[in-house]
Amino acid sequence: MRKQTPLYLMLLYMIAHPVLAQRYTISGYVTDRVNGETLISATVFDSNSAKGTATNSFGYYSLTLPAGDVTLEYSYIGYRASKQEFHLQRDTVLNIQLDLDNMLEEVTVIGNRSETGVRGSQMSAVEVPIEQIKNIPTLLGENDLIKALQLLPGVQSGTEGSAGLYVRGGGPDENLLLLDGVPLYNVNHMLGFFSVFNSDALKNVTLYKGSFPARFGGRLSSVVDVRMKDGDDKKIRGTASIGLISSKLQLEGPIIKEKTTFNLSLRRTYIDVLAQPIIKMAQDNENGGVNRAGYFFYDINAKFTHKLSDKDKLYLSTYFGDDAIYLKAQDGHSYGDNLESRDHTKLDWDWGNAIAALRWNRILNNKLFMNTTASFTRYRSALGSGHESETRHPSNSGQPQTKEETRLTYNSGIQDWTLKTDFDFTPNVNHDIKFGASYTYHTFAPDVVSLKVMDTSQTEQNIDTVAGSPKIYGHETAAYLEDNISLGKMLKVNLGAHFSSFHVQNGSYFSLQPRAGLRLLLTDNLSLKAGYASMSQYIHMLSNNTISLPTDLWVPATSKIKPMKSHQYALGAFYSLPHVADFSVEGYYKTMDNLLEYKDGASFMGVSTNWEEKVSMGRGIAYGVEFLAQRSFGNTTGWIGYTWSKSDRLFDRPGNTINNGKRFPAKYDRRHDISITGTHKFSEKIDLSASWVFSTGNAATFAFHEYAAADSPTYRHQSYSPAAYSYVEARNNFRYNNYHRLDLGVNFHKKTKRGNLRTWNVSIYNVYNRLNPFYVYVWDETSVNQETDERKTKKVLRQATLFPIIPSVSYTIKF
Amino acid sequence: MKRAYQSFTLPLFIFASCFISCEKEIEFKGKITDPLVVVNALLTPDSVVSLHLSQSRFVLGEIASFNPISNAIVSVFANDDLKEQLSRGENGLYRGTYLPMPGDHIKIEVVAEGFSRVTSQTRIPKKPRVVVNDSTVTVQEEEYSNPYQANTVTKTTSRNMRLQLRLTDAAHEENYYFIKASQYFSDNGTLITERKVGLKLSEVLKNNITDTGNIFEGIFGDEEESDRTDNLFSDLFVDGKDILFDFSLSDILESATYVNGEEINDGNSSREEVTVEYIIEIGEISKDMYHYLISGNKALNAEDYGPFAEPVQVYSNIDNGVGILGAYTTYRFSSRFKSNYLPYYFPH
Repeated sequence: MRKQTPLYLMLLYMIAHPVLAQRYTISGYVTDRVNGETLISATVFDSNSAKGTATNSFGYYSLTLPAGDVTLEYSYIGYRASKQEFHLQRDTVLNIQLDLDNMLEEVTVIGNRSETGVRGSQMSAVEVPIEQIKNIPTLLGENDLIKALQLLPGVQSGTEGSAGLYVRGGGPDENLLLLDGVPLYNVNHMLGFFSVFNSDALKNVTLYKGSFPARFGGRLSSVVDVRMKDGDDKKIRGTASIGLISSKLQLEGPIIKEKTTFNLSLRRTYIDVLAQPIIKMAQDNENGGVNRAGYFFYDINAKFTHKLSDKDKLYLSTYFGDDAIYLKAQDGHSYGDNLESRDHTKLDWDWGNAIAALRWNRILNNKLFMNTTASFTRYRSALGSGHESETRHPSNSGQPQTKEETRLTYNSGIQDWTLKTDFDFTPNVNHDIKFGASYTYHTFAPDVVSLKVMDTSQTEQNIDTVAGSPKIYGHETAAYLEDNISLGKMLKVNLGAHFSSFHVQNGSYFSLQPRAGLRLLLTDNLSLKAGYASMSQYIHMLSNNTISLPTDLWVPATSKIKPMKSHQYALGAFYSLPHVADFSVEGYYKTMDNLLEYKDGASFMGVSTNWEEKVSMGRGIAYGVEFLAQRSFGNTTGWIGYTWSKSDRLFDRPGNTINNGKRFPAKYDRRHDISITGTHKFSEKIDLSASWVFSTGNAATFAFHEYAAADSPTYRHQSYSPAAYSYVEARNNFRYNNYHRLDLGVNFHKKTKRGNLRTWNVSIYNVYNRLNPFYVYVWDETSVNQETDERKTKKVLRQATLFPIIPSVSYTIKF
Repeated sequence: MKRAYQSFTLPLFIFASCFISCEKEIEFKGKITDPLVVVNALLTPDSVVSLHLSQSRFVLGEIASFNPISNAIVSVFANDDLKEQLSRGENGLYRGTYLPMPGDHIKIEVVAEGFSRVTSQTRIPKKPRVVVNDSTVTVQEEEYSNPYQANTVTKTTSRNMRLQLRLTDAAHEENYYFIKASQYFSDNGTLITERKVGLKLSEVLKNNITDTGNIFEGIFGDEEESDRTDNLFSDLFVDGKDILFDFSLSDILESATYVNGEEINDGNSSREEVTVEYIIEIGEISKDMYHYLISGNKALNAEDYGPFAEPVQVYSNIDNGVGILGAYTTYRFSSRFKSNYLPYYFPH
C-alpha cells in the first residue's frame, strides 16, 4: 500500500491539473487580410506550452490555455506567419488577419503543424492548395480538381482522361464528394473527361483516404471535402478566362462591406457554337442533313455570406451544372416519280446537378461553435429522342403511304433533403470534441423509360410502353462524436464513433462505426500514426464499367442488396524536413463487404429494371503502400507520389458467384502508380509546371481461345445453334499496356497599368504523344491478295486511344 | 426493352467514338496458351453414346476451323463400370454401342496424345412423367368477305386443338426442363417440310395458378432477349408439384376464295392432301446442360453489347478441358391430321 500512494496522488494530480489551474480561452477567426476570406485548417500554436489547434471549416478556432504568458503563432501555407505575444488573464477573442506571402522564399510556414501533417492525429488525408491545383497542366487547359487528386498516391483514375476516383481499391461510387458540405452525386462533365468543380470558385480541398474522422460517413473509400470561397468582403474582384473549349468568369465582392459578400462563378463550353457552321457544311446535302447538333456543359457556383453579428453568420451556397447533347436532322430521298421518303431525327439529352445549402454558424460561447445546415442536392438525367419516317407518292399530296414514328423518353435521378447540426467543443487544450447529427430524406427515381412505336404499315409493330422503377424513398439518420485528445506532448489520439440508420421499403439497417487515430510524435519533425475506420454505405451506383455515362443510376440498399461495409487499418510515418518538404509513407489494409459487381453478361444502360438480378454481392480486399513527398511552399512546389497496391474481389456466395467463386483482380487494380508533379516560379512573370504519371495497365476480361459449341436438341431452330463460344479463363485476366504521360504548362503573367494581372497559359497534354490504351478489342482484319483476289481474314488485337498530344492555350485576366 | 437499350447504346457509342483519336494494332504480350481439349456430348437414352472432340484455337491470327482430335481413346463408364471404348469416326466424332439408361451416372475419360487426361461426368435424367390431361379438337368453318375487293369471299375450314399436358415434377431434386413443338408435312410418308412452332413459356405455363398468382411469375424475364433458351425452365418454384402445359394449335385444313360465286386460285390452297403432324416435346435436361445453355446464350448476347457488357464464362463440366457432357430425356406427344391447305412456308 505504501508504494501505491505516490502513484495514486500523481494520477489525481494529472486529472485535476487542467481543472485546478486557472485557464482561459482564446478564440476567433483567422482570415486573409486582403479579401477577408476565412482560412480553413490554419494552425494556432502556443510555443510556450507547445499546445495548438487548427481552424475549422469556417476559419474559427478556440484554444484554452493556462493563464500567463502566451506566444501564439498563426500560420497557414502560403501566408506569412503572425506571432502574438501577450499575457493571458481572461477569455480573449482574437481575430487574426494573415498576409499572403508574395515573396514565397521567405515563407516560414511548414505544413507539419496542420492536422494532416506531422503533428496532427489525422492520417491518410491530403490537403492540396487550390493555387497548386490551378497550376497543374491538364487536358485542353481546363484545370481540374479531380484530375489533381488523381495524381495523389492511393488515388487512381479510371480510364484515360476520366474524372473517376478509385481510392485505395474502392469503386467510383464509394467517394463522398462534398461541395460546402453537400454531396454531389455526379461530378463528371463530358463522359468524365472534366469534373464539375470550377477551381475559380474554390477555396480549399481536403481528401481523406482512410482513418476517417467520425463526422464523415456514408461512403466506404474517400471523402473529398471541397469548400467554396466566401467572397471578398472589401472590394469587388474577378477573374475572366478564355480557353480552347470554355470560358469562365468569376466575380466576388462585398454587397455590404465587411458584412455581406458574394462569390459567383460561371463556366460554359462553346465547342457546339463553334462547330455549328462546320457541322452544317459537312452534313448539308440536297436531301437534308443535320440541322442542329452539339454538346455543351455549364456550371454556375454562387455563394452569399452574411455576418448577422459577431457571433452569427449565414451562408447560402448553390451550384447548378448541366451537360446537354442535342441533335436535329432530316433526310429525304426520291425513288423516280413513284415514291418519296423523308426521315426526321431529334435528340435532346441533358443531365446535371443542383445543390443549395443554407448554413448558420453561431459561436454559442468561446468553447462551443455550432453549424446548422439545411441542404438540397439533386442529380437528374432526362433524355428525349424521336424518329419519324414517312413515304408518300408525289401524286398523292394527302396522306402518307407509310409512316413510322419512334419516341423514347428517359428520366432518372436522385435527390436529398438534409438537415444537420454540427458542434465544435473545446473544453480544454487537451480535448477537441466534435459532435452532431443529421437527417437525410432521399428520393431515388432510378428510371422511367417510355417507348412508343407506331408503324402504319405493320400494325403489330405498334408499341406504347412505360417501363422502369417507381420512386423509392429512404430515410438516413446519423449521429457522431469524436474527440481529438492530447495525452502529453508525444501522444495524440482521435477517438470517435459514427452511428447511422437507413430506413427503406419498410426495412431498416443500423450501423455503429468506430473510428480511431493515434499519433506518436517522436521528434518535432517525425511522427508515427495509426488509424482504423469502419464505414457503411447505403447507396450504390449502377454504372457502366468503362466510362462515366449520364445513365449512371443511384439505387438504395434493399432487402436483397445489403449496405456496403468496410474496415480499414492504416499505419504510417510522417517526417518534415524544415524548409524543404514533408514526407510520408503509409500502409493500409482494407476489407470491403457487400460490394456489387455485374454478373457475367449483365449490361447496364441506364435501365434499372431487375437491377438486383444483374449484380452479385461479394467481398473486396485491398492493401498497399503509399509514399508522398510534398512541398507546398517556396518557388518550387509539387509532389512525388508512389503507390504499390493490390485490390482483389471475391464473389463466392451461393447464387452470387463470379469467376467460379475464385478471387480475381478488381478492374482498377494496379500494382504501380507514380506521379510527379511540380511548379517552378522563375519570376513574377513566368512559371513552369509539369506532371508525369505512370501506372500499371487496367485489368480487363478477354477471351483468348474459342471452341466449338455443342448443338443442343433444345434449340427451337437450326439457326439458334452457335458455331463457337469464347473461352474466358478468368475475370480481369488481361492487362492493358502500361499508362504514362507527360504534361507541360507555362504561365506568362503581366501586370497592367490598372493593376490587373494578365496570364497567358500554354500547355501541352501528353507531350511525347504516348498512345495510351482506352479500350482494347479483337478485330477481324481482312486482306486481299491483288494477284489472286484471295481474301484472308485474321484476328488482331487493336487498341483505341483517346488523347494524343494536345496543345492548348488560355488567357486569364484577374481584376 | 432490347429496343430501348439499343436506343441508348447508339447515341452513346457515337458520342464516345467522337473522342477516339486513333486506333492501332498492338502486339499480344501475354502468354499464348496451348489449345484445350473440347468435349461436346449431349447424351440421351434414345441414342448410343457419342461425342465430339476438338481443340480450342487461339483467337488471334488467321481464322481457321477447329482441329478435330481423331486419335483419342475415349472410355465410357456407367455407374462406375467401364462400359466400352468409343470407336473413332471422322472429324473427331466418337461413337459407341451403349444406350444410356435414365438414372445412369455416366463418366467419360479422354486420353489424347499431347493433352492431359480429360474427364467429365453427368447423370441421365429420368423420363419426365407426363400425362395428357385434356385434349380437344374442333373443326370450324368460317366465311370472310374481303373489304377491299368487292364480291370476294373466302371460306375456310380450320382445325383447333387445345391440349393440356401435366408433368409431375420429382420432389426434392433439382430438375430442369425444356419444351419444344414442331410441325411436319409429309406426302405419302415422304417428309416435305418441317417447321418449329413458336411457343412462349409464359403462355404455355399460364394455367399454373395458385392463390398468389402464376407460380412461374418472375422467371420468364425478357423472352425477346433469350431466343435460344426461352423454352428452358427449372423446378425452383414447383418442386414436387404438377405443372400444367397448355397448347392451342390452329391450322387451316381447307381454304377457297370465290369472286362472284366463282372459285379462283388464290395461291394458298391446294387440292393435294398432305399429312400434318405436330410433335410436342417436354424434356428433362441435366443440370450441367442447363447451365451450359443458359451461360452460352448469355455469352452470345453479351458479345452483341461489346464493351457495355461483362464477358461471360460459359459453363463447362470438363476437367482439364472445356465443353459439355450433358444429358436429356424426352416425352413426345404426337397429333396427326390431313390437310388440303398449304401455308406460306410450304415449298411450292
